[in-house]
Amino acid sequence: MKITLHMLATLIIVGALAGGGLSLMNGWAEPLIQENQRQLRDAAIGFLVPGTPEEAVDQDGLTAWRVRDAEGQLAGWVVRYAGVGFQDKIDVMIALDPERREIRGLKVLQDSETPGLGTWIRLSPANETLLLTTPDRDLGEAVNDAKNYPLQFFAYGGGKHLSAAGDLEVVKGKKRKDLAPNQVQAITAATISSRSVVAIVNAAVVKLDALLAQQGGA
Amino acid sequence: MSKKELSLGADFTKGLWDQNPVLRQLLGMCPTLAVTTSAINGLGMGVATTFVLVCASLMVSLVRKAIPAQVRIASYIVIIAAFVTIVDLAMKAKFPALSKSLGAFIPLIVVNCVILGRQEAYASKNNPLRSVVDAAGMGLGFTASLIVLGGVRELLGNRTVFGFQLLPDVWEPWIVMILPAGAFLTLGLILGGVNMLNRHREQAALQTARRASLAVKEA
Repeated sequence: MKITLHMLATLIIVGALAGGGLSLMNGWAEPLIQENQRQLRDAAIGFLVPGTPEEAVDQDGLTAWRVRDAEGQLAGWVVRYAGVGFQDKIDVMIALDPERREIRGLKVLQDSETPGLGTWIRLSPANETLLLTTPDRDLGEAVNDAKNYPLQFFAYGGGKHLSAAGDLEVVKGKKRKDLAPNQVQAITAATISSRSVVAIVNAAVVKLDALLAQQGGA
Repeated sequence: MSKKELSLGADFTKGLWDQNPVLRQLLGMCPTLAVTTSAINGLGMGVATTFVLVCASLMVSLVRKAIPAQVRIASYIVIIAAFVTIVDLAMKAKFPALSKSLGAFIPLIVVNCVILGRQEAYASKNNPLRSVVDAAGMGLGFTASLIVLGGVRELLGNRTVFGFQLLPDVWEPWIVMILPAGAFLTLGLILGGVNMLNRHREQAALQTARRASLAVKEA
């Protein structure tokens, strides 16, 4: 009986001390973690559509922001949505024009795709620099590389944009100049990752349309 | 019969080579193979594991006499889990990019057998100072192994080490090195090299001993 009580008391004391310590630690870390996430999100929105985002609209796993320019005009939309990737979920932010007819950009916030293959769905630092130093984002020949997959969502062939009708499809082996506005060239050896991103984008634009229709228009 | 006690310095250095957790004891293989796609990942995982190992060893050593043998493993796990959660929260708060890169492997430090192994084999039987020194040596050995493994894989698979390009652009990256197969290949080759080196050292020591013995006989 004595040893049982000793065992119980030990476990209770160890558990209580660990719990108390973690509670203190969480109190310190939680605001910093929230702040990091907010900064990451704001930086991604600012990168995709420069301007001031309005309050987010949330529904069914989708988060959308209207972004206004300095004059208060609607500069575009940013939509955040996650879907299934090759190994785990892929969390992306998609930029749309004010009328939501064209896709103007894409940024992957989180993924667990195969390093060196599926990870090309992310913008590389070189891609980001190119986008930041090309004000009109007419990327010309830069999109003609399988490793520049995400650039296709910003512009392709002479600054044309992808359709935001929710009908994007992945194609293989086509020349960039022959691609239709709803076609995205797959990453070599990472077709599943390429298809996953396209499926997430399609689902996001359809869900955004449904959400705005429910709220009575844009 | 009491076992001969090592000096504090020997207690520290044994984890670096002779009892290196990765290269000699083959412990903690899951994070070793999974996160070492780059040198920075190896460093991040190594530092996180070392922190948990040192703190848990100190705590276990301090309370070792108060914990009944029947619940010692459960108590150690609670102590280890608390420190792992502290590391996880601190990384998310201060190093969000590294935390994202290491993903689920930070919480999984709880089940890293290097840590529980040192508590059971050492910290629960030794004083706090010796336990901390032993843990620091083991942690440093673990970290160094992960950095070497991550560095080799990053160099051959991405031309860089710690993000700095070391191989020229003409070098076509070996994608296999940053895939799981690359982890097994690299670890296998490193282990082979370490075993070969140790065999040479043992043979050299044996020959020296033989020569000394012959010299004594001749004299």
